Amino acid sequence: MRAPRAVPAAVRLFGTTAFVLAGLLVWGLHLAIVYGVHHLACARGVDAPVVAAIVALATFAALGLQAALLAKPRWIASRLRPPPPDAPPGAFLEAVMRWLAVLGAAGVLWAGSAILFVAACGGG
Amino acid sequence: MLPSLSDERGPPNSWPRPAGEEEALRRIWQRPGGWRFPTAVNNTVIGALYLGAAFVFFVLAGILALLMRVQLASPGNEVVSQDLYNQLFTMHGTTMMFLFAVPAVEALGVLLLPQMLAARDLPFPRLGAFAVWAYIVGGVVFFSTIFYGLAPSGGWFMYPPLTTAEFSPGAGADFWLLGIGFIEISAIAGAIEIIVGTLRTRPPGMSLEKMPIFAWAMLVFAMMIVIAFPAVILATMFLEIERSFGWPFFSVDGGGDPLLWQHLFWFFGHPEVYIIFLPAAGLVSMIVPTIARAPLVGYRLIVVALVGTGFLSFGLWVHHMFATGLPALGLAFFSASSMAVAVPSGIQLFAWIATLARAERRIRLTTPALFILGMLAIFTIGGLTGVMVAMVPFDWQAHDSYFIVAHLHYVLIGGMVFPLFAAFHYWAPVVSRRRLSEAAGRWSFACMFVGFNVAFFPLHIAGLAGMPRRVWTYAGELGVGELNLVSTCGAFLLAAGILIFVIDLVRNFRFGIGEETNPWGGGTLEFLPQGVYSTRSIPRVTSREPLWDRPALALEVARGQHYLPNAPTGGRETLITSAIEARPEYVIQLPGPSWTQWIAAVFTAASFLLLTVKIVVPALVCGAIAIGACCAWAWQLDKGPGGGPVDIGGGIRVPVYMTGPAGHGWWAMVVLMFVAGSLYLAYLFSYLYIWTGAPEAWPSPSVLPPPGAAVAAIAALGAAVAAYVLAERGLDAGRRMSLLPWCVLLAALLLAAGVGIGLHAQWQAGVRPTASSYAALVYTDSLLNGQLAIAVLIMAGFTAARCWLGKVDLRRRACLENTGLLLRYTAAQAAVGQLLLHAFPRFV
Repeated sequence: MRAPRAVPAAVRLFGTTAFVLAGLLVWGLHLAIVYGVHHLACARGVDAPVVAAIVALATFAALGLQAALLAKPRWIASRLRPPPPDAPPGAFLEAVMRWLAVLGAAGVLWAGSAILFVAACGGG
Repeated sequence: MLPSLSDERGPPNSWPRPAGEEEALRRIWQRPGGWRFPTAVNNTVIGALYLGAAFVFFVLAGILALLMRVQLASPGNEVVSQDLYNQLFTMHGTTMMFLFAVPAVEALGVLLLPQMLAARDLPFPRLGAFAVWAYIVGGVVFFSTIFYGLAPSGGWFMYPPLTTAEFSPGAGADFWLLGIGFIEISAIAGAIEIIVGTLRTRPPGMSLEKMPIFAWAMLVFAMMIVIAFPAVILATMFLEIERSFGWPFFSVDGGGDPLLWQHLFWFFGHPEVYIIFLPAAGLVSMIVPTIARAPLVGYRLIVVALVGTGFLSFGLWVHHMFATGLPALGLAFFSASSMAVAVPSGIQLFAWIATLARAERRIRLTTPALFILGMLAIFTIGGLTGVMVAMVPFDWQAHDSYFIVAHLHYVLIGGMVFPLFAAFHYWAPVVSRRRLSEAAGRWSFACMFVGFNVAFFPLHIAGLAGMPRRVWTYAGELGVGELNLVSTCGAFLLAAGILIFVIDLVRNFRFGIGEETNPWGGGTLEFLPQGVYSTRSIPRVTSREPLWDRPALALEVARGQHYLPNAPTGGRETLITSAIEARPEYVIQLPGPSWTQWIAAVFTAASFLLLTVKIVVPALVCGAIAIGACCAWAWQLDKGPGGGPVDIGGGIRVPVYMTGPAGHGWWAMVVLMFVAGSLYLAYLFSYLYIWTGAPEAWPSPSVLPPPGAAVAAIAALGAAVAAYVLAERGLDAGRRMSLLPWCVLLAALLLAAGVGIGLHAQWQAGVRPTASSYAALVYTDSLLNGQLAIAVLIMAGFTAARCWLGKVDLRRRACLENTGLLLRYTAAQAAVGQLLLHAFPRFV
């Protein structure tokens, strides 16, 4: 039997997954940008202060996104449609999302703060 | 609208049940015996076989370790030759990582997940059986190479250029590359089974926040395999192609870069550590509450820790490359991630300790409890030294020394082997008629715990004193002779502990249904009364520890008072529920015993192994037989919607067939596309990485194939998708049924033509794969897309045959949908490839 309502259910699972992992996705995106930019820019001879500025900018942007996730989870939920907080797994999933966003923010801050101590494009 | 589980108090079915229900279940789920044993697909048989094979490889790799320890017991020893020593440490590491650790935890998933979820089986039993037999055949042949001097000797991570044909002639490296690549494919098959099983075969009411922690751990584990393993599959493809055909991916002379191997290998290799650890942590989170007789402290945070660890572990791979000369700031990013991942690991440790501290009564130091306590001590030390080596300056001092050997054994044996032995003792009553001996378990634990620490703690000091790893022997002047002698003694004590366990296993383990239902007083569903059909009925779950919160549940389930107490279609079935809330959706009709998956596994393994030794024609014949067996296996799967809907209890009626995004086959295909996507992303990374190192290998726009070739290729790909969409719409409208198989075949041929046009244009432009790293990468794109196109062609032929035989219609269309999914994905990937190969060189 073909279920006409099944597409929304499958899409809802992908949306829920994206909602729960939002904080970690931001962390992953930040790592990809800072590592990718640093690798490419240094290989192409871009000035170190420019590379450092890009890393700092990416870090502030990622932290801003993490803060938005923590402060306004309902805003992103309205787009990704996870179960509502009053349904059985909804509150649990929102709490997991918030904790993962905290973990992701710590990872972003940890990686981004390296720019304060280590020069860009310097030898390893 | 999904059915709601209205009555939360009483069981959904009345009692007594009609006569003959249980007898029918027992007959349907009977395990084949004797010479038909290879046809078995029951998860208990397959899981036990998988676990047993993994344990045999553990013992074999342990014996290799003892040989190494004998060689290293004193300076200047010559018990084994230098070349054999190199083979020993390569085979020890490879066997432990690829043939023991990952298969063992995957086996536990196959064995325990259906029991923990009260499912009758996982949704793809034959796929699980295929994975196990492929692993056993491939693993046995691979391991046997040590006996006739054909074993690889480049270390378990096989770095080029040491492992290129120039420096590692002979077939040893080829056995590693093709053998391990093949075994990883079997691990991916198991991961698909576990993901769909965890998300779709939970009992009604077990929404995500009530899922056992082990199920969470296995879900994260399987997702990690899907993302991580393709990277090393691509790396092994690159290296094998370079060794066999001279395409220069890693040779600097041709514009390649040996560091690419390290990036790809460790993008897999570091998550591999957590792929091994997280399921073991899940086991600990299941055992600790029973030991403490209290619910797990911080369930929510442990879920956060599992997901967080799995995710963060993909940002650590460069910490294995701190000594390769990468820029310092780049190292700092990965050093930060390496320290950040310690946070979720710490959360789990503290949650376990808090749960033990919350125990209402004094903790009984049973064998599982002892192994858990031993794990806490050992893994904590391994974690602390892990934070040490995550710091770049310290890593530079300790790199490639015995400090690293000690660290990784503390992490892996503490984090995985001790929990595994706890699990053996804890869950043996679920699959054995008798428990394992407590007395033998205590002796085994004592020898293993003391032996392990005596063996490996001194190696920290030996490493700091300057002893490099992977040395055949060392000079007495280094001053590490005594430390090594102590370490060797400890290794034999550790082996004695394992020998005691093996003797206990031989004396007490008897595969079958346990005489004791819940010997430890556990609260989760695997301790419900079991039969060959799993549980008599599938319970409605209202909490995380249902056996503690509803003491009558075991009796109700055994009486058949919960869902699906019978076999309404007369065959093997289990209940499929929604992924988030676990509401009943449909009854899946499962396939029974068959030779097909066994023949497919054996001949796939044979094909790979014959290719390894360059016996091409028999390899192709074996491959063809394997594909034929797969088609025969798949032919029997789609049983159609006849017989439904059926009553599963509590007034709920559900269908017995589902296609589209609600169907389990659709989910498996989506996961498979994630695997293909991850492989292609690894390829894109490789392309860009090689370009950053050797941009001079990229041609000028004037010598590139004309842009018209890309346009033609993309047009053919688009036409393939359009033909397929027309076929599907024709079926939806009930029109042009006779044209359906022809449209399907036409779409697949157009897809193959699209890939072929791109390849032909490169050849016509004079690009040859052996000429440069750029050219090798261009042809790899065609290789990746071509193998998918061949798969689509086979699936299209299969679908067309089913159409001609009247086995595809408006409702019965699973094969049509799955072929369509892969065709669309392949067309999209090939189009991205054309854009990359034609646009990128013109814009840089």
